[in-house]
Amino acid sequence: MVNFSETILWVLYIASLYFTIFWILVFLSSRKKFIKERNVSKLSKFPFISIIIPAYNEEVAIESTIKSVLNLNYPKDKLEVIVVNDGSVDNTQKVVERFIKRNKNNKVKLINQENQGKAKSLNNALNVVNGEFFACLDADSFVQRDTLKKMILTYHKYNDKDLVIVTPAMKIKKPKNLVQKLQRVEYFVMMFVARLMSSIDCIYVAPGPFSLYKTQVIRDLGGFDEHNLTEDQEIAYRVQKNHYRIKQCYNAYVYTGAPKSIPTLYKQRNRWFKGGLFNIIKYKKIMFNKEYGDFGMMQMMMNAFYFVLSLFAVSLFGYYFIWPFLKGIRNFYLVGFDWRPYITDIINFELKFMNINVEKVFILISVLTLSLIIFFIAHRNADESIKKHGTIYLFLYFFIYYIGLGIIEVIVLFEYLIGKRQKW
Amino acid sequence: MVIQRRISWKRYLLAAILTAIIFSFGLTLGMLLDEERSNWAKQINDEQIINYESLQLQYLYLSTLENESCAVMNAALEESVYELNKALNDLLGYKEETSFEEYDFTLIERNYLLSNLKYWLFAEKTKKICQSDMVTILYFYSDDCLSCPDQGVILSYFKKKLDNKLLVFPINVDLEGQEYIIKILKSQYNVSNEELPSIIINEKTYKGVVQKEELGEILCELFENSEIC
Repeated sequence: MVNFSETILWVLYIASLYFTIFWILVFLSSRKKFIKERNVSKLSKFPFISIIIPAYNEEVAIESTIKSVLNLNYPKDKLEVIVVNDGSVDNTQKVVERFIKRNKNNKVKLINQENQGKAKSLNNALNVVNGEFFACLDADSFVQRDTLKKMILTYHKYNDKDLVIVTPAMKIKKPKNLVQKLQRVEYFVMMFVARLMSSIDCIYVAPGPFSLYKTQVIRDLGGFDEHNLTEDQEIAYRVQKNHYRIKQCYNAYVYTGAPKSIPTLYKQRNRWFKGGLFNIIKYKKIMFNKEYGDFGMMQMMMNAFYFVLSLFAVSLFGYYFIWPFLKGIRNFYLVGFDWRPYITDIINFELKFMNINVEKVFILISVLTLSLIIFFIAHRNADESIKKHGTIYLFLYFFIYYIGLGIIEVIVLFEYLIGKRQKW
Repeated sequence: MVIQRRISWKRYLLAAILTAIIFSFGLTLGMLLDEERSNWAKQINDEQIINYESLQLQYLYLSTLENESCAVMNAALEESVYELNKALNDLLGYKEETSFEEYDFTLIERNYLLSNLKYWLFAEKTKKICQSDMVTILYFYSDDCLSCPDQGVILSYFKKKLDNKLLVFPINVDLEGQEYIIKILKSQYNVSNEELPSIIINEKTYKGVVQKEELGEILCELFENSEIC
């Protein structure tokens, strides 16, 4: 009795298994190349670099953000800071002006504009950037002192004129509550996956905080897309489309602020996924296009397929867990919520081994085991230990967080289908 | 400028092969287990036949004795009906989860149905001979009747609550094509396929789902010892 849901389940299983195995193969063949940039002292050539700080109502954090940039382990005369005040209604402008007045020997500029969003801020700054490279740093993000040098080392290491973006390895800044701690785990996995994608030139997002761009090429490509929900993803797609390369600097750690509550997390992810969907559609011609190598043949397909996968996964989750759960509640209602007769059932609980579908369980276990392996490697790669942070998040991450993300993807898919657009 | 970007065909293929290996390994495992399962189902079925035989032998023996053997008889009956229903539930659960050919199950299901009816007759007799304080329910249902699961839930609730005081004998009317006895029972108790679920308590037919409160009242009236209500 192979029914519809059964077929979907098989597709889901096989596809997840295939993708997981694919990434493990990538890992096995490229792990020796995961050399972290350690000898920052060996760096001898220091290209001029501009750091753009877009700020909207950041009067509290802006000064310390500027200071943290100026405090980077990099020659002061090779560094400029461009603060873009995106129509703040607080004292951001005054705070920055005062800072510039007091620190005249540092190159800090201020651009004031009406509130026009982040992409516009970046483009306005891009017009005046003097650096050979530029990076952008949000006021809520924090960069380790050596990060910039490490990223420049990465540029030197590849010595490739087509390498135009080096992405950092992002971590969550001081995760406090459960929502943030789950994201911390997620960022480790994303960092690791980005590492794998980097090795086969498949990176499709240049994270907003502190990706280091080659100024001239980004200008030639027309700057950032001001009408895109996720301009940091769009620029990466555009760079890929023009056959330039993006690499991750494996240990250039950047710490970024993360949503603290479920509603803010939902809003962020809804924007990310929607932006992702729009960009897949915008660059659909890359998909299955041999000209684009693994990026076209595998990564684009995977990006698109994850939406379908999440749709399957969420409906199956509903079918196999939510529906029986609701049915259980209804049955409980039928007997007037009298639980006493069922105590013996719980005591005499026995797993009916013969009723378990071994094939499904076997593949589920395979996928879980492989994911766990990836998970452990991801921690090691991020220079973090699982023991230190507790394994409880691992389980929550696997069994609850994923489903939550899947549900958001499904919502995004539906919103897209009924034509609901969203502004940044 | 034509840029040749790398496509790792070998990796795609290797991933596909590895996926296929893991997948077929799981599939083989499942097939081996399927055979195991069908043997198991057959074994349960054989056990049931033997159980019935032994119960019938007990009955023959006990019916020659005086009333003091009733305790033994009741215990034997209760045990067997419990085992029978458990085996039937296991079978139905298995049927849902498997891709096995359906007719294999129909045979076993028919066997369970016949056993159930035999036990029912036996229970009725035991009740008369021993004057036991117990109630028997005939429960007519079908696979595609939407409200039947509700009745099933309520019945098993009382079954759990009243334990050996209540014996429920489920009859799947989908099997009436093969088992003429179902038709006989249906006409005797005035049960029609349009009014499922139907339950027969003490010769009286109740059509449609009998809710918990109502069923509780009906049952309470029938027990001599009303403390259990």
